[in-house]
Amino acid sequence: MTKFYQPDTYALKGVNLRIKPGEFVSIIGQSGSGKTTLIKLLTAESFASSGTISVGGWDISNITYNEVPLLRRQIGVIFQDYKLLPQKTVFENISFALEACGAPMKKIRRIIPQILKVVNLRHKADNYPRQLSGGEQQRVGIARALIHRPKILVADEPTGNLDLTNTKEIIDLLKKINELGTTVLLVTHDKDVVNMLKKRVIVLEQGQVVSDQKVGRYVI
Amino acid sequence: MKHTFFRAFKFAFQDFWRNIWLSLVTVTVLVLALLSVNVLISLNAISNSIINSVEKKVDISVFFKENVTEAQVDNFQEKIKSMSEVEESVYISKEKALADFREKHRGDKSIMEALRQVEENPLLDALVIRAKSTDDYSRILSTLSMGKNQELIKYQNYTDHKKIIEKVSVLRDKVKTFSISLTAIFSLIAVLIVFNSIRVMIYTHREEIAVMRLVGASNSFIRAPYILESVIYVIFAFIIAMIFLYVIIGATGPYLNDFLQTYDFSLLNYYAENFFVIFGAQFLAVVVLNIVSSGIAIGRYLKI
Repeated sequence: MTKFYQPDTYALKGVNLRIKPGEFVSIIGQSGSGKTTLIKLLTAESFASSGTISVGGWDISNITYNEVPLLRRQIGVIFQDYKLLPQKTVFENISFALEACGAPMKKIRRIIPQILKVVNLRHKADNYPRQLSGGEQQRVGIARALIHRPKILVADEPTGNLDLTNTKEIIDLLKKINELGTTVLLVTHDKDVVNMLKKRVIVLEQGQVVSDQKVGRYVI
Repeated sequence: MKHTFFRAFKFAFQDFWRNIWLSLVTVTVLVLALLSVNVLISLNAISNSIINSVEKKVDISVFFKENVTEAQVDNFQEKIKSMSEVEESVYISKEKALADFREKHRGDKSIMEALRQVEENPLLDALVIRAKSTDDYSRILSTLSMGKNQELIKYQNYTDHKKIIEKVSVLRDKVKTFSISLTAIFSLIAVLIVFNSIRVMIYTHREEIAVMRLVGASNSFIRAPYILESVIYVIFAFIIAMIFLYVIIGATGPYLNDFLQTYDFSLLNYYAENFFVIFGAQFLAVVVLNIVSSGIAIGRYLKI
Protein backbone atom coordinates (compact mmCIF):
# COMPACT_ATOMS: atom_id res chain seq x y z
CA MET A 1 0.00 0.00 0.00
CA THR A 2 1.02 3.65 -0.44
CA LYS A 3 0.63 6.74 1.70
CA PHE A 4 1.11 9.99 -0.18
CA TYR A 5 1.11 13.58 1.11
CA GLN A 6 0.64 16.51 -1.23
CA PRO A 7 2.48 17.77 -3.22
CA ASP A 8 5.13 15.10 -3.65
CA THR A 9 5.90 13.21 -0.44
CA TYR A 10 5.58 9.45 -0.15
CA ALA A 11 5.49 8.41 3.52
CA LEU A 12 5.08 4.79 2.33
CA LYS A 13 5.48 3.58 -1.23
CA GLY A 14 4.45 0.20 -2.56
CA VAL A 15 4.77 -1.51 0.82
CA ASN A 16 3.77 -5.13 0.51
CA LEU A 17 3.91 -7.04 3.79
CA ARG A 18 2.33 -10.12 5.23
CA ILE A 19 2.68 -10.78 8.92
CA LYS A 20 1.47 -14.14 10.12
CA PRO A 21 -0.43 -14.67 13.37
CA GLY A 22 1.95 -15.21 16.28
CA GLU A 23 4.97 -13.66 14.61
CA PHE A 24 7.38 -11.31 16.37
CA VAL A 25 8.48 -8.67 13.88
CA SER A 26 10.88 -5.79 14.44
CA ILE A 27 10.46 -2.83 12.12
CA ILE A 28 13.50 -0.63 11.91
CA GLY A 29 14.56 2.41 9.92
CA GLN A 30 15.90 5.92 10.24
CA SER A 31 13.69 8.86 11.18
CA GLY A 32 11.29 9.60 8.35
CA SER A 33 11.48 6.10 6.91
CA GLY A 34 7.76 5.51 7.43
CA LYS A 35 7.65 3.42 10.63
CA THR A 36 5.21 5.71 12.47
CA THR A 37 3.07 6.07 9.34
CA LEU A 38 2.80 2.28 9.14
CA ILE A 39 1.53 2.12 12.73
CA LYS A 40 -0.92 4.96 12.13
CA LEU A 41 -2.34 3.09 9.13
CA LEU A 42 -2.71 -0.07 11.20
CA THR A 43 -4.62 1.76 13.95
CA ALA A 44 -6.71 3.84 11.51
CA GLU A 45 -5.21 7.09 12.72
CA SER A 46 -4.52 7.68 9.07
CA PHE A 47 -5.66 6.10 5.81
CA ALA A 48 -3.68 4.69 2.89
CA SER A 49 -3.73 6.66 -0.35
CA SER A 50 -3.91 3.38 -2.27
CA GLY A 51 -3.79 -0.32 -1.56
CA THR A 52 -5.39 -2.37 1.18
CA ILE A 53 -4.69 -3.13 4.80
CA SER A 54 -6.13 -6.24 6.35
CA VAL A 55 -6.08 -7.05 10.07
CA GLY A 56 -7.08 -10.59 11.02
CA GLY A 57 -9.02 -10.89 7.77
CA TRP A 58 -10.78 -7.53 8.22
CA ASP A 59 -10.09 -5.08 5.39
CA ILE A 60 -9.70 -1.78 7.21
CA SER A 61 -8.82 0.27 4.12
CA ASN A 62 -12.26 1.93 4.12
CA ILE A 63 -13.12 1.53 7.77
CA THR A 64 -15.97 3.76 8.94
CA TYR A 65 -15.78 6.32 11.72
CA ASN A 66 -17.91 4.16 14.03
CA GLU A 67 -15.82 1.00 13.42
CA VAL A 68 -12.51 2.62 14.44
CA PRO A 69 -12.97 2.05 18.20
CA LEU A 70 -13.71 -1.64 17.47
CA LEU A 71 -10.48 -1.97 15.50
CA ARG A 72 -8.46 -0.30 18.24
CA ARG A 73 -9.78 -2.75 20.79
CA GLN A 74 -8.30 -5.54 18.68
CA ILE A 75 -4.90 -3.92 18.35
CA GLY A 76 -3.03 -3.17 21.54
CA VAL A 77 -0.60 -0.26 21.18
CA ILE A 78 2.28 0.69 23.44
CA PHE A 79 3.92 4.08 23.08
CA GLN A 80 7.31 5.55 23.81
CA ASP A 81 5.71 8.19 26.05
CA TYR A 82 3.37 5.61 27.66
CA LYS A 83 0.25 7.75 27.03
CA LEU A 84 -1.34 7.07 30.38
CA LEU A 85 -4.22 9.16 31.71
CA PRO A 86 -2.54 11.30 34.38
CA GLN A 87 -5.62 11.82 36.54
CA LYS A 88 -6.44 8.12 36.77
CA THR A 89 -4.75 5.48 38.93
CA VAL A 90 -3.01 2.42 37.51
CA PHE A 91 -6.18 0.39 38.08
CA GLU A 92 -8.35 3.06 36.42
CA ASN A 93 -6.01 3.46 33.45
CA ILE A 94 -6.39 -0.22 32.67
CA SER A 95 -10.07 -0.52 33.58
CA PHE A 96 -10.87 2.46 31.33
CA ALA A 97 -10.16 0.31 28.29
CA LEU A 98 -12.74 -2.23 29.53
CA GLU A 99 -15.26 0.35 30.69
CA ALA A 100 -15.09 1.94 27.26
CA CYS A 101 -16.67 -1.18 25.78
CA GLY A 102 -19.29 -1.56 28.50
CA ALA A 103 -17.75 -4.35 30.55
CA PRO A 104 -19.46 -4.78 33.94
CA MET A 105 -17.51 -3.79 37.06
CA LYS A 106 -17.61 -7.34 38.38
CA LYS A 107 -15.69 -8.58 35.33
CA ILE A 108 -13.29 -5.63 35.51
CA ARG A 109 -12.50 -6.24 39.19
CA ARG A 110 -11.80 -9.89 38.35
CA ILE A 111 -9.59 -9.35 35.27
CA ILE A 112 -7.42 -6.40 36.27
CA PRO A 113 -5.67 -7.98 39.26
CA GLN A 114 -4.76 -10.88 36.94
CA ILE A 115 -3.26 -8.60 34.34
CA LEU A 116 -1.45 -6.54 37.00
CA LYS A 117 0.08 -9.77 38.24
CA VAL A 118 1.36 -10.52 34.72
CA VAL A 119 3.15 -7.15 34.58
CA ASN A 120 4.13 -7.33 38.24
CA LEU A 121 2.34 -4.18 39.35
CA ARG A 122 -0.36 -5.49 41.65
CA HIS A 123 1.02 -3.51 44.58
CA LYS A 124 0.82 -0.26 42.60
CA ALA A 125 -2.83 -0.47 41.58
CA ASP A 126 -3.82 2.72 43.47
CA ASN A 127 -0.85 4.80 42.38
CA TYR A 128 -1.02 7.58 39.81
CA PRO A 129 1.34 7.58 36.79
CA ARG A 130 3.36 10.44 38.29
CA GLN A 131 4.17 8.14 41.21
CA LEU A 132 5.67 5.44 38.97
CA SER A 133 9.06 4.99 37.30
CA GLY A 134 9.37 4.92 33.51
CA GLY A 135 9.55 1.14 33.44
CA GLU A 136 6.50 0.82 35.66
CA GLN A 137 4.53 3.26 33.52
CA GLN A 138 5.39 1.28 30.42
CA ARG A 139 4.24 -1.91 32.13
CA VAL A 140 0.92 -0.22 32.85
CA GLY A 141 0.80 0.66 29.16
CA ILE A 142 1.40 -2.98 28.27
CA ALA A 143 -1.27 -4.14 30.71
CA ARG A 144 -3.76 -1.74 29.17
CA ALA A 145 -2.81 -2.86 25.67
CA LEU A 146 -3.37 -6.50 26.65
CA ILE A 147 -6.67 -6.09 28.47
CA HIS A 148 -8.78 -6.89 25.42
CA ARG A 149 -6.57 -9.88 24.54
CA PRO A 150 -5.71 -8.31 21.20
CA LYS A 151 -4.62 -10.26 18.18
CA ILE A 152 -1.81 -7.81 17.57
CA LEU A 153 0.37 -5.84 19.93
CA VAL A 154 2.13 -2.88 18.35
CA ALA A 155 5.01 -1.42 20.34
CA ASP A 156 6.13 1.98 19.06
CA GLU A 157 9.58 2.60 20.55
CA PRO A 158 8.51 1.15 23.90
CA THR A 159 11.99 1.35 25.38
CA GLY A 160 12.91 4.78 23.99
CA ASN A 161 12.73 6.48 27.41
CA LEU A 162 14.02 3.59 29.51
CA ASP A 163 17.36 2.51 30.92
CA LEU A 164 19.00 -0.84 30.16
CA THR A 165 17.42 -2.74 33.02
CA ASN A 166 13.91 -1.57 32.28
CA THR A 167 14.47 -2.10 28.56
CA LYS A 168 15.33 -5.74 29.15
CA GLU A 169 12.27 -6.15 31.39
CA ILE A 170 9.93 -4.72 28.75
CA ILE A 171 11.42 -6.77 25.93
CA ASP A 172 11.19 -9.95 28.04
CA LEU A 173 7.54 -9.13 28.69
CA LEU A 174 6.90 -8.67 24.98
CA LYS A 175 8.56 -11.99 24.25
CA LYS A 176 6.42 -13.66 26.89
CA ILE A 177 3.29 -12.14 25.36
CA ASN A 178 4.36 -13.36 21.95
CA GLU A 179 4.94 -16.85 23.25
CA LEU A 180 1.33 -16.87 24.43
CA GLY A 181 0.22 -16.36 20.83
CA THR A 182 -0.08 -12.60 20.31
CA THR A 183 1.48 -11.15 17.16
CA VAL A 184 3.99 -8.48 18.16
CA LEU A 185 5.18 -5.62 15.97
CA LEU A 186 8.10 -3.84 17.55
CA VAL A 187 9.17 -0.49 16.07
CA THR A 188 12.54 0.44 17.46
CA HIS A 189 15.82 2.25 17.01
CA ASP A 190 17.54 0.07 19.58
CA LYS A 191 20.18 -1.99 17.81
CA ASP A 192 20.91 -4.18 20.81
CA VAL A 193 17.28 -5.13 21.27
CA VAL A 194 16.88 -6.16 17.62
CA ASN A 195 20.07 -8.16 17.59
CA MET A 196 19.20 -9.85 20.86
CA LEU A 197 15.75 -10.92 19.71
CA LYS A 198 16.87 -12.85 16.64
CA LYS A 199 13.41 -12.52 15.13
CA ARG A 200 12.08 -11.29 11.79
CA VAL A 201 13.40 -7.83 10.91
CA ILE A 202 11.85 -5.51 8.32
CA VAL A 203 13.91 -2.50 7.28
CA LEU A 204 12.18 0.61 5.94
CA GLU A 205 13.98 3.30 4.00
CA GLN A 206 12.27 6.36 2.50
CA GLY A 207 8.88 4.68 2.74
CA GLN A 208 9.92 1.42 1.08
CA VAL A 209 10.77 -2.03 2.41
CA VAL A 210 14.43 -2.54 1.61
CA SER A 211 14.98 -5.69 3.63
CA ASP A 212 12.83 -8.41 5.19
CA GLN A 213 14.75 -11.17 6.96
CA LYS A 214 13.28 -14.03 8.89
CA VAL A 215 16.09 -13.92 11.44
CA GLY A 216 17.52 -10.47 11.02
CA ARG A 217 19.97 -8.07 12.52
CA TYR A 218 20.01 -4.29 12.89
CA VAL A 219 21.57 -3.16 9.61
CA ILE A 220 21.08 0.49 8.70
CA MET B 1 -26.91 1.92 28.72
CA LYS B 2 -27.43 2.41 32.47
CA HIS B 3 -23.80 1.31 33.08
CA THR B 4 -22.50 3.77 30.52
CA PHE B 5 -24.51 6.67 31.94
CA PHE B 6 -23.40 5.88 35.48
CA ARG B 7 -19.78 5.60 34.32
CA ALA B 8 -19.99 8.90 32.48
CA PHE B 9 -21.15 10.56 35.73
CA LYS B 10 -18.42 8.85 37.70
CA PHE B 11 -15.75 10.02 35.26
CA ALA B 12 -17.22 13.53 35.22
CA PHE B 13 -17.10 13.84 39.02
CA GLN B 14 -13.66 12.27 39.18
CA ASP B 15 -12.31 14.67 36.59
CA PHE B 16 -13.96 17.65 38.31
CA TRP B 17 -12.36 16.75 41.62
CA ARG B 18 -8.95 15.64 40.34
CA ASN B 19 -8.56 18.81 38.26
CA ILE B 20 -9.89 20.95 41.07
CA TRP B 21 -8.03 24.15 40.20
CA LEU B 22 -9.18 24.09 36.60
CA SER B 23 -12.71 23.34 37.84
CA LEU B 24 -12.60 26.25 40.28
CA VAL B 25 -11.41 28.66 37.61
CA THR B 26 -14.13 27.56 35.19
CA VAL B 27 -16.81 27.79 37.87
CA THR B 28 -15.56 31.26 38.86
CA VAL B 29 -15.84 32.48 35.27
CA LEU B 30 -19.40 31.16 35.13
CA VAL B 31 -20.26 32.82 38.44
CA LEU B 32 -18.95 36.18 37.22
CA ALA B 33 -20.90 35.86 33.97
CA LEU B 34 -24.09 35.03 35.89
CA LEU B 35 -23.60 37.87 38.35
CA SER B 36 -23.07 40.43 35.60
CA VAL B 37 -26.25 39.33 33.82
CA ASN B 38 -28.20 39.45 37.10
CA VAL B 39 -26.90 42.91 37.94
CA LEU B 40 -28.33 44.04 34.62
CA ILE B 41 -31.61 42.27 35.32
CA SER B 42 -31.77 44.09 38.66
CA LEU B 43 -31.04 47.48 37.10
CA ASN B 44 -33.65 46.76 34.47
CA ALA B 45 -36.23 45.85 37.11
CA ILE B 46 -35.47 48.97 39.14
CA SER B 47 -35.64 51.32 36.16
CA ASN B 48 -38.89 49.70 34.94
CA SER B 49 -40.38 50.12 38.38
CA ILE B 50 -39.42 53.80 38.51
CA ILE B 51 -40.76 54.46 35.04
CA ASN B 52 -44.01 52.60 35.81
CA SER B 53 -44.45 54.60 38.99
CA VAL B 54 -43.95 57.87 37.15
CA GLU B 55 -46.40 56.75 34.49
CA LYS B 56 -48.98 55.91 37.14
CA LYS B 57 -48.75 59.45 38.48
CA VAL B 58 -49.55 60.87 35.09
CA ASP B 59 -53.25 61.46 34.52
CA ILE B 60 -55.57 63.93 32.85
CA SER B 61 -58.52 65.74 34.37
CA VAL B 62 -61.65 66.57 32.44
CA PHE B 63 -63.72 69.44 33.92
CA PHE B 64 -67.43 69.51 33.15
CA LYS B 65 -69.57 72.56 32.43
CA GLU B 66 -71.62 73.96 35.33
CA ASN B 67 -74.95 72.84 33.84
CA VAL B 68 -73.97 69.18 33.36
CA THR B 69 -76.16 66.81 35.39
CA GLU B 70 -74.99 63.86 37.47
CA ALA B 71 -76.69 61.47 35.07
CA GLN B 72 -74.80 62.94 32.15
CA VAL B 73 -71.53 62.63 34.08
CA ASP B 74 -72.32 58.97 34.95
CA ASN B 75 -73.08 58.25 31.31
CA PHE B 76 -69.87 59.93 30.23
CA GLN B 77 -67.86 58.00 32.81
CA GLU B 78 -69.32 54.69 31.62
CA LYS B 79 -68.23 55.48 28.07
CA ILE B 80 -64.72 56.34 29.25
CA LYS B 81 -64.43 53.21 31.41
CA SER B 82 -65.44 51.02 28.47
CA MET B 83 -62.38 52.18 26.51
CA SER B 84 -59.63 49.56 26.52
CA GLU B 85 -56.98 52.24 26.90
CA VAL B 86 -58.39 53.47 30.23
CA GLU B 87 -56.90 52.00 33.40
CA GLU B 88 -59.01 53.97 35.85
CA SER B 89 -61.39 56.90 36.00
CA VAL B 90 -62.40 58.66 39.21
CA TYR B 91 -65.24 61.16 39.50
CA ILE B 92 -64.58 64.12 41.82
CA SER B 93 -67.62 66.28 42.51
CA LYS B 94 -67.10 69.99 42.95
CA GLU B 95 -68.05 69.67 46.62
CA LYS B 96 -65.42 67.07 47.20
CA ALA B 97 -62.94 69.08 45.18
CA LEU B 98 -63.61 72.11 47.40
CA ALA B 99 -63.31 70.06 50.60
CA ASP B 100 -59.98 68.60 49.38
CA PHE B 101 -58.80 72.09 48.43
CA ARG B 102 -59.68 73.48 51.88
CA GLU B 103 -57.87 70.56 53.56
CA LYS B 104 -54.79 70.98 51.39
CA HIS B 105 -54.51 74.73 52.01
CA ARG B 106 -55.88 75.00 55.57
CA GLY B 107 -52.59 76.47 56.74
CA ASP B 108 -52.61 79.19 54.09
CA LYS B 109 -54.52 82.17 55.54
CA SER B 110 -54.73 84.16 52.31
CA ILE B 111 -56.32 81.28 50.40
CA MET B 112 -58.74 80.50 53.23
CA GLU B 113 -59.73 84.22 53.37
CA ALA B 114 -60.25 84.25 49.58
CA LEU B 115 -62.54 81.21 49.83
CA ARG B 116 -64.62 82.89 52.56
CA GLN B 117 -65.12 85.90 50.34
CA VAL B 118 -66.16 83.82 47.32
CA GLU B 119 -69.73 82.82 48.04
CA GLU B 120 -70.15 80.09 45.47
CA ASN B 121 -68.00 77.03 44.87
CA PRO B 122 -65.68 78.10 42.08
CA LEU B 123 -64.62 74.54 41.29
CA LEU B 124 -66.15 72.20 38.74
CA ASP B 125 -67.13 68.54 38.65
CA ALA B 126 -64.21 66.61 37.21
CA LEU B 127 -63.25 63.20 35.96
CA VAL B 128 -59.63 62.11 36.55
CA ILE B 129 -58.60 59.61 33.89
CA ARG B 130 -55.53 57.40 34.04
CA ALA B 131 -54.52 55.48 30.90
CA LYS B 132 -52.77 52.12 30.81
CA SER B 133 -49.90 53.71 28.94
CA THR B 134 -48.87 57.30 28.34
CA ASP B 135 -49.15 56.54 24.63
CA ASP B 136 -52.94 56.10 25.05
CA TYR B 137 -53.78 59.63 26.18
CA SER B 138 -53.98 61.09 22.71
CA ARG B 139 -56.52 58.41 21.69
CA ILE B 140 -58.57 59.04 24.82
CA LEU B 141 -58.50 62.77 24.13
CA SER B 142 -59.65 62.34 20.56
CA THR B 143 -62.63 60.31 21.88
CA LEU B 144 -63.41 63.04 24.37
CA SER B 145 -63.47 65.66 21.66
CA MET B 146 -65.93 63.70 19.52
CA GLY B 147 -69.55 64.80 19.03
CA LYS B 148 -71.73 65.18 22.14
CA ASN B 149 -68.81 64.69 24.52
CA GLN B 150 -67.54 68.12 23.55
CA GLU B 151 -70.77 69.71 24.74
CA LEU B 152 -70.21 68.49 28.31
CA ILE B 153 -66.59 69.45 28.74
CA LYS B 154 -65.49 72.92 29.77
CA TYR B 155 -61.79 72.12 29.54
CA GLN B 156 -59.18 69.41 30.11
CA ASN B 157 -55.63 69.74 31.35
CA TYR B 158 -54.02 67.33 28.85
CA THR B 159 -52.66 70.18 26.75
CA ASP B 160 -50.85 71.53 29.84
CA HIS B 161 -49.42 68.10 30.66
CA LYS B 162 -48.87 66.98 27.09
CA LYS B 163 -45.19 67.74 27.05
CA ILE B 164 -44.55 65.94 30.35
CA ILE B 165 -46.54 62.95 29.20
CA GLU B 166 -44.62 62.79 25.94
CA LYS B 167 -41.29 63.14 27.76
CA VAL B 168 -42.20 60.29 30.09
CA SER B 169 -43.11 58.12 27.08
CA VAL B 170 -39.88 58.91 25.31
CA LEU B 171 -37.85 58.31 28.51
CA ARG B 172 -39.59 55.00 29.08
CA ASP B 173 -38.89 53.85 25.52
CA LYS B 174 -35.26 54.96 25.67
CA VAL B 175 -34.65 53.28 29.02
CA LYS B 176 -36.27 50.10 27.71
CA THR B 177 -34.18 50.11 24.52
CA PHE B 178 -31.00 50.88 26.46
CA SER B 179 -31.68 48.12 29.00
CA ILE B 180 -32.44 45.55 26.33
CA SER B 181 -29.35 46.51 24.32
CA LEU B 182 -27.09 46.46 27.37
CA THR B 183 -28.51 43.12 28.52
CA ALA B 184 -28.01 41.69 25.04
CA ILE B 185 -24.41 42.93 24.86
CA PHE B 186 -23.54 41.62 28.33
CA SER B 187 -25.27 38.33 27.59
CA LEU B 188 -23.23 38.00 24.40
CA ILE B 189 -20.04 38.76 26.31
CA ALA B 190 -21.05 36.20 28.94
CA VAL B 191 -21.73 33.64 26.20
CA LEU B 192 -18.31 34.21 24.63
CA ILE B 193 -16.55 34.03 27.99
CA VAL B 194 -18.29 30.81 28.95
CA PHE B 195 -17.68 29.30 25.50
CA ASN B 196 -14.00 30.15 25.70
CA SER B 197 -13.63 28.82 29.25
CA ILE B 198 -15.12 25.50 28.24
CA ARG B 199 -12.84 25.38 25.19
CA VAL B 200 -9.82 25.98 27.41
CA MET B 201 -10.99 23.25 29.76
CA ILE B 202 -11.33 20.79 26.88
CA TYR B 203 -8.01 21.96 25.42
CA THR B 204 -6.20 21.02 28.62
CA HIS B 205 -7.66 17.53 28.21
CA ARG B 206 -6.71 17.11 24.55
CA GLU B 207 -3.98 14.57 25.16
CA GLU B 208 -6.25 12.53 27.39
CA ILE B 209 -8.91 12.57 24.70
CA ALA B 210 -6.34 11.33 22.16
CA VAL B 211 -5.32 8.51 24.50
CA MET B 212 -8.94 7.52 25.07
CA ARG B 213 -9.43 7.26 21.31
CA LEU B 214 -6.31 5.18 20.92
CA VAL B 215 -7.45 2.60 23.44
CA GLY B 216 -10.72 2.13 21.59
CA ALA B 217 -13.20 4.34 23.42
CA SER B 218 -16.09 5.46 21.23
CA ASN B 219 -16.63 9.16 20.63
CA SER B 220 -19.81 9.20 22.68
CA PHE B 221 -18.04 7.49 25.59
CA ILE B 222 -15.30 10.12 25.45
CA ARG B 223 -17.68 13.03 24.99
CA ALA B 224 -20.28 12.21 27.65
CA PRO B 225 -18.18 12.81 30.80
CA TYR B 226 -16.97 16.20 29.57
CA ILE B 227 -20.47 17.30 28.73
CA LEU B 228 -21.71 16.11 32.11
CA GLU B 229 -18.76 17.84 33.75
CA SER B 230 -19.79 21.10 32.11
CA VAL B 231 -23.28 20.62 33.60
CA ILE B 232 -21.68 20.09 37.02
CA TYR B 233 -19.85 23.40 36.55
CA VAL B 234 -23.18 25.11 35.83
CA ILE B 235 -24.83 23.63 38.93
CA PHE B 236 -22.03 24.74 41.23
CA ALA B 237 -21.77 28.15 39.54
CA PHE B 238 -25.50 28.67 39.92
CA ILE B 239 -25.57 27.85 43.59
CA ILE B 240 -22.63 30.15 44.28
CA ALA B 241 -24.00 32.95 42.08
CA MET B 242 -27.42 32.79 43.81
CA ILE B 243 -25.83 32.94 47.24
CA PHE B 244 -23.71 35.93 46.21
CA LEU B 245 -26.68 37.64 44.60
CA TYR B 246 -28.89 37.30 47.66
CA VAL B 247 -26.07 38.49 49.91
CA ILE B 248 -25.54 41.53 47.67
CA ILE B 249 -29.26 42.28 47.52
CA GLY B 250 -29.52 41.86 51.28
CA ALA B 251 -26.55 44.16 51.90
CA THR B 252 -27.70 46.86 49.49
CA GLY B 253 -31.37 46.42 50.44
CA PRO B 254 -31.58 49.22 53.08
CA TYR B 255 -29.96 51.75 50.71
CA LEU B 256 -32.11 50.69 47.78
CA ASN B 257 -35.27 50.76 49.89
CA ASP B 258 -34.51 54.34 50.96
CA PHE B 259 -34.11 55.31 47.34
CA LEU B 260 -37.07 53.36 46.06
CA GLN B 261 -39.55 53.83 48.91
CA THR B 262 -41.65 56.30 46.94
CA TYR B 263 -41.81 53.77 44.12
CA ASP B 264 -42.95 50.83 46.26
CA PHE B 265 -40.38 48.40 44.86
CA SER B 266 -38.26 45.75 46.59
CA LEU B 267 -35.55 43.95 44.64
CA LEU B 268 -35.68 41.01 47.03
CA ASN B 269 -39.41 40.62 46.48
CA TYR B 270 -38.92 40.96 42.74
CA TYR B 271 -36.48 38.04 42.69
CA ALA B 272 -38.61 36.02 45.08
CA GLU B 273 -41.74 36.49 42.96
CA ASN B 274 -39.95 35.74 39.68
CA PHE B 275 -37.52 33.17 41.03
CA PHE B 276 -38.38 30.29 38.72
CA VAL B 277 -38.67 32.43 35.60
CA ILE B 278 -35.43 34.36 36.14
CA PHE B 279 -33.25 31.55 37.42
CA GLY B 280 -34.96 28.80 35.48
CA ALA B 281 -34.38 30.58 32.17
CA GLN B 282 -30.79 31.43 33.06
CA PHE B 283 -30.03 27.90 34.23
CA LEU B 284 -31.46 26.41 31.07
CA ALA B 285 -29.60 28.90 28.87
CA VAL B 286 -26.25 28.33 30.60
CA VAL B 287 -26.66 24.54 30.60
CA VAL B 288 -27.45 24.54 26.87
CA LEU B 289 -24.56 26.93 26.22
CA ASN B 290 -22.14 24.74 28.18
CA ILE B 291 -23.28 21.56 26.48
CA VAL B 292 -23.01 23.13 23.03
CA SER B 293 -19.60 24.65 23.87
CA SER B 294 -18.30 21.31 25.16
CA GLY B 295 -19.69 19.50 22.16
CA ILE B 296 -18.06 21.88 19.71
CA ALA B 297 -14.76 22.08 21.60
CA ILE B 298 -14.39 18.35 22.06
CA GLY B 299 -15.48 17.63 18.49
CA ARG B 300 -12.21 19.13 17.31
CA TYR B 301 -10.23 16.40 19.02
CA LEU B 302 -12.48 13.55 17.96
CA LYS B 303 -11.99 13.84 14.22
CA ILE B 304 -10.07 11.06 12.59
